[in-house]
Amino acid sequence: MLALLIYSFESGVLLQVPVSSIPVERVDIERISLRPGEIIANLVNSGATDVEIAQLQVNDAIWGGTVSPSNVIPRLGKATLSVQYPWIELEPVKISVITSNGIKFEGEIAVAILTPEFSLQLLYVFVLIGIYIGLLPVFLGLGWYPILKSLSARWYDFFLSFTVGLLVLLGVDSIKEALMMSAEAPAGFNVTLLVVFGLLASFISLMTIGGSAISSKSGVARRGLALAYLISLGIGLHNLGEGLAVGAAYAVGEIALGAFLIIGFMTHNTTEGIAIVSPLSSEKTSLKHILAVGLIAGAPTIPGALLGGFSFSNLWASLFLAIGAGAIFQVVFEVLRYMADSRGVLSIFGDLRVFLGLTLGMLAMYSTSLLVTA
Amino acid sequence: MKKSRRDFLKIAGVTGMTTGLAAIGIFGNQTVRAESSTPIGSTPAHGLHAGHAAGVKAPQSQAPHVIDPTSFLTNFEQGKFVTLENGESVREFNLVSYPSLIEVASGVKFPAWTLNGTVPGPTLRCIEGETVRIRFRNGDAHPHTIHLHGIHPARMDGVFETVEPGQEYVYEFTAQPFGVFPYHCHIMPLTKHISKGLYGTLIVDPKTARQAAREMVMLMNGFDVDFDGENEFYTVNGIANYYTDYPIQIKVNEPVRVYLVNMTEFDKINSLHLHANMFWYYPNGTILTPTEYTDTVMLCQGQRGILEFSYKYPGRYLFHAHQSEFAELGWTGIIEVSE
Ligand SMILES: [Cu+2]
Repeated sequence: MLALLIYSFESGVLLQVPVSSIPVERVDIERISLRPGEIIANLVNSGATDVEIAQLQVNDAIWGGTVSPSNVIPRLGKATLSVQYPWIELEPVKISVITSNGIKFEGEIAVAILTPEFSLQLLYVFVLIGIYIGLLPVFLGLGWYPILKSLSARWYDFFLSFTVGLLVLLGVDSIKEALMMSAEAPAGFNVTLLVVFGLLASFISLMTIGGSAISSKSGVARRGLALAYLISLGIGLHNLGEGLAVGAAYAVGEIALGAFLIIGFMTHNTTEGIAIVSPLSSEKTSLKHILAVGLIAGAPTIPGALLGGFSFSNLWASLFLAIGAGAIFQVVFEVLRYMADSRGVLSIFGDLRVFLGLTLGMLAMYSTSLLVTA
Repeated sequence: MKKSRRDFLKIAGVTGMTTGLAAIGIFGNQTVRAESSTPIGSTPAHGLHAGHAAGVKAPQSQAPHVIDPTSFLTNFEQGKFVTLENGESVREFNLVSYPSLIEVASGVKFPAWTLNGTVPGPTLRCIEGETVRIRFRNGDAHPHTIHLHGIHPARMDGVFETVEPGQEYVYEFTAQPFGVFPYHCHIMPLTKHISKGLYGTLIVDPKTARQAAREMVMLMNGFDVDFDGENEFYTVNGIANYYTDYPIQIKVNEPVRVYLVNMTEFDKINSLHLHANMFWYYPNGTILTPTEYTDTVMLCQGQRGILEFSYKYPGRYLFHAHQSEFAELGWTGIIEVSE
């Protein structure tokens, strides 16, 4: 049967679908780096067909360059364009490649500065960035644990609601960023759908795993601890994506991590630490566990910043932010379920402490987010 | 992440970032080369040198230089005469290029590449048949040339003889024909080298001088202050709307001669319209009889000519580009005619 089918196509017995004379070409310029007198651009063919890069324009003028390994890029293949060009510091650089079919694709650096090359010192810088924006703030948040614990048990619901408020906004923010970055990712990979997939897949998997782990059979203390671990996992995934993005932005000179911004990140991400320890405030928790949740939540910014700094991809950053968002929403669900306990989920609303907690949690996340935006 | 954060950071200070990185010395120099590669396109062969000071951090500008369009309007550099060993007398000009932060509209600074500190560069003036020397020293971090219009040998054309940073080149030629000419740098990428400000006016007077008149130079240009390939400001003699704030003073019936040059980058044409009057127009100033009696003239980049007119009635009169867009972006001035 199959042989017959192949034969029919090969021999032209069957009517073939006519091939469009204009192939759908698409080339994405993923990353542009600058060396003295040289521009390096990473090209990705994300179109439906092989493309031949025939011409090059720099700042809208015809220029010469080389494409490695070849100026013919196979579908979903990559190539590196190297251009000897006297780019001017602090001015924009625009690269346009034109395919043999006359289709033009552009990439731009808004403010040209030398791209930092890999070195031990740069490695150290990225680790430092990771610590500053992730690990340190999360532990600062965890430091609130004794304060939370010293408060009356009546405030427990308040802090759990506060956590929910924080997490909801963090999750929404993650989705927003994942979608924004997916728009910049190579179109051939359909990253927007990948974001939706990552979001739902992580939500569903954690429902499956987490749901059984925090089954109501275990004691209250165990559930609080399990919740803390779940929250830190969700935040850790989010921070991996955030680290990727910050590292990349730093590497291409789009950001200057000045003191003001570092403090902004610290304040902002400190709320993440508070979110983690809230479920623990009604119970005695060993330092070992506190350290563990802190590391799970805060440490991923370090590999994130490193990866982002040296080989950034909008695709991976989008995916990790989406997975993080899914995890965060799953945690929101778990915390609400935990609070509801025997009462039923809807019954937790109507409690003034819950209302205050949710509102203040959202306000805290919103207002600290202003510190890291314009 | 965070487009918004990145945007913020751009404002927060790119310079801080650069200096920060430089301070901890993380700029490496390694170059990775792939095993195979395919050349594409072609780099313009002329006016670009292998040793182009690319990606070099521009030196800090000398003190911010402010052009004074009022004096620039009527300032014609005569150069100085030097006598050669063979007894020949040569008119010599000095041009030096260097970067400077100049004011192009009230309060707006532009990191320009200047000639003798201003954009436009000085107006050079000589007489037909004279031997002229332009001693050009490149004090900028990028290579430049002085490309001249008019008739001269190839080596005096300022295209292939790149003048590297710190170097000097002497352009020597017989001034011919008479007329008004632009001069400008001719290094690739040309758009960049011109839009950064390396140009000016050269006037070659006929052997028999033109009739006495109140003479002025008007060089029309634009400034792309955000480097997006479009001009944000249009000016005559370097500062947007300058002559609206400080009108040009003339007398009733006083003969006026304007040497008009268009060096506007990015836009196809520029123009001049004189209010409540007509002028005689001499394209390129290379003939002594006017070709037009008009109130508007249109010039493409590099085109130029001479206008002659006088005002019959006292009062304030506008002159501006007759593209309203340019007029509203700085290319407007006032002539004040008094008794
Ligand atoms: Cu130049």
